[in-house]
Amino acid sequence: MSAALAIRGLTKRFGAVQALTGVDLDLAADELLVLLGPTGAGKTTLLRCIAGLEAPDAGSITLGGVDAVGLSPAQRDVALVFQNFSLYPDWTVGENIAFPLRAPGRAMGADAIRERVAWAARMLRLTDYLDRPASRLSGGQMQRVAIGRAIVRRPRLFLMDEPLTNLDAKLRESLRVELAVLRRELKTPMLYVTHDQAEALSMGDRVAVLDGGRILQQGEPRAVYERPVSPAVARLVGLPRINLLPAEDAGGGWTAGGVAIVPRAAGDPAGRCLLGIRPEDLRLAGGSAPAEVQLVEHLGAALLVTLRWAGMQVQALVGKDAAVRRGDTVHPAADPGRTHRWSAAD
Amino acid sequence: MSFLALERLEKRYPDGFHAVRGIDLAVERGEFIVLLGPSGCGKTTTLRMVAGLEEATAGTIRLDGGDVTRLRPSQRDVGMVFQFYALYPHLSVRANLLFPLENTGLAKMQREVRVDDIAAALGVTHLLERFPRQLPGGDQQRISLGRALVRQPRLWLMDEPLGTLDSDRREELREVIRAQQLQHGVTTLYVTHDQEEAMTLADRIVVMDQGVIRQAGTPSEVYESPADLFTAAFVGSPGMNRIDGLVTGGVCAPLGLPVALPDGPVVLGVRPEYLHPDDAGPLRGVVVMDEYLGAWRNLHLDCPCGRLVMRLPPGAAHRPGDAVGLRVDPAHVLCFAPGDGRRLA
Repeated sequence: MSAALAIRGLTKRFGAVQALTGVDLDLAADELLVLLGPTGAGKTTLLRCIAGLEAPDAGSITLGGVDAVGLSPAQRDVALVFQNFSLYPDWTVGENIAFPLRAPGRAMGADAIRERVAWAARMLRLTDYLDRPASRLSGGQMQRVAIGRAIVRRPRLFLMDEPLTNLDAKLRESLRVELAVLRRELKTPMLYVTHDQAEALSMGDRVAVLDGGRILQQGEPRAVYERPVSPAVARLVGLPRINLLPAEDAGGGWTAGGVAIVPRAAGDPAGRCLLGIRPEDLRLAGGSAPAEVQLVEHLGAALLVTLRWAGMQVQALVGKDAAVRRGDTVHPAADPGRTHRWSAAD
Repeated sequence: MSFLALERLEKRYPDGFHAVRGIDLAVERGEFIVLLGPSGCGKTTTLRMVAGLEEATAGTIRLDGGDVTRLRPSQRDVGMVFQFYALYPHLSVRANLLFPLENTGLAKMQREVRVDDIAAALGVTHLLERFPRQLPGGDQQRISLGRALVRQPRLWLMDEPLGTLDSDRREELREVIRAQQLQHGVTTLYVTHDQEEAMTLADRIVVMDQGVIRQAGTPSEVYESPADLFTAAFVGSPGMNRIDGLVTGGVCAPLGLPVALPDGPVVLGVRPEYLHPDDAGPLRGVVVMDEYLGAWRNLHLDCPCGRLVMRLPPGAAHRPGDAVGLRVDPAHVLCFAPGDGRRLA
């Protein structure tokens, strides 16, 4: 079976701005790939090139084994869902969902349309709202209708451009799970664009990290989180953010600000490095050098502790039962196997 | 006496919409209060009444001992911080930051010191003589926040000031806001729908829903000891699990726990971190999704009692369809009334 989507060497420039540089990307037939990157990384441009709304300067886009670069957006048979869902406010939910099926050239019978709309509504738990005008829906319901409009066509590929960004945090959290489960049931490939690292880890079968128009890393969420190839990736994936400490080789061990942090390991860079420690991998006891507790924040299920250590500010994520208070002195320690080391030039 | 007091404060719009339904709140000097709730809960209307941008239809607002309910915004000496401040393109960054300090009665020297302080806190000291249009968006956002924080009025009123920023910048500016607030001790009301933001910023969180205050308490009180089911579900990521239970002779099904409640239906609440995998446990479920989040994972399960979420270390993943047994920490099971959702035990 050919890949749902294959991109090779995709490059796009807008005037002086190099939006995309040599992007390679594959999407398998039953896969949800999340494209994660900050604002301006090139995510939306890439999506628009795939949808046929933008023509790339160089490179190839293959959809289901067919070269797509010359095809119109309609011929590509992909469904695009945007951050700003535009529904017809006076139409009912059912009419909004049915809209793409009524496009000229589709020639679907009324019964077939009704059946398809009922199916889409069932998938999105909108059955009870089919006769309600779109203007009387909540934000989360509106976004579900917009998604319904995309799935009702049964396209070969879904392209989602930050579909949950404008919703309340609480709603985003439940819809991201709903959407991932729905996609699994539909068995349709999806490319999902977001700047929210939790969404990327949570939803993606694989994650591609994009910044400055280049793919920095792609892989399964666990691989990207546990083995980031560069400090840039490590910073973009994971909240609370990874601690990055400039360290020096002090003969057998890495020190930062004069404090011994971890021993050297095979494959470590020579001389100097940037040492990465995830907040959950920093324990508050067992180390040799003292640190002052500057702040303890209750995050609900865990505590986030901000420390002054080795002349730097670092954060540790610890269990709620930890007896730690502002002003305490602790002796942080990191498990060497759970730290990251990059050559200082990265 | 409290520094800011809202007494039976109410807002009813001409079309009949009852946005705020008689709320009471006492705020101490220097407190950082976060008003938390979903869209339409009345949090922004409350803030705007304190600012004087909306007129209260009933009730009283007292600030520093004086009744300000009928005063114009400019007479209240409060600073409203919105999402984005437009910067004056023809003024330098320094002049932009100085602007809010005009007519404040501060000496020129003091104004300069304030500008230097806030610029240092935001890391834009080297940009003071530049013009906004020469700067990238991130610097412009920092400077616009600086314009809001350079003045220290009696109250800072913040309406989702970090709204749609990327998480990176949000976190950074959130720290700036908190540090400035601690340093200057300006009493602050901060509106957000993001419970995580509320947990990290607030001295006290005021949870609002449908125009009423559901609970006001420290982040850990609101999280560990919610006053009702709404607060239990809204605070926490994900919110508290709810399990429909039945008390018979002092024992509660389906968990088999002793409870000091009369016979009848009850809703049990358990946080995701207080559920544990245990094949001998009283609950069984089927995995819907193993949601990996880096430092931990949320295991979503379909159980006979409904959808439950368990928070687990990242470890080995479960697959959709896997059967899982669960037990709960008896010390962390809360009981709520099935009707109005208020806390029972």
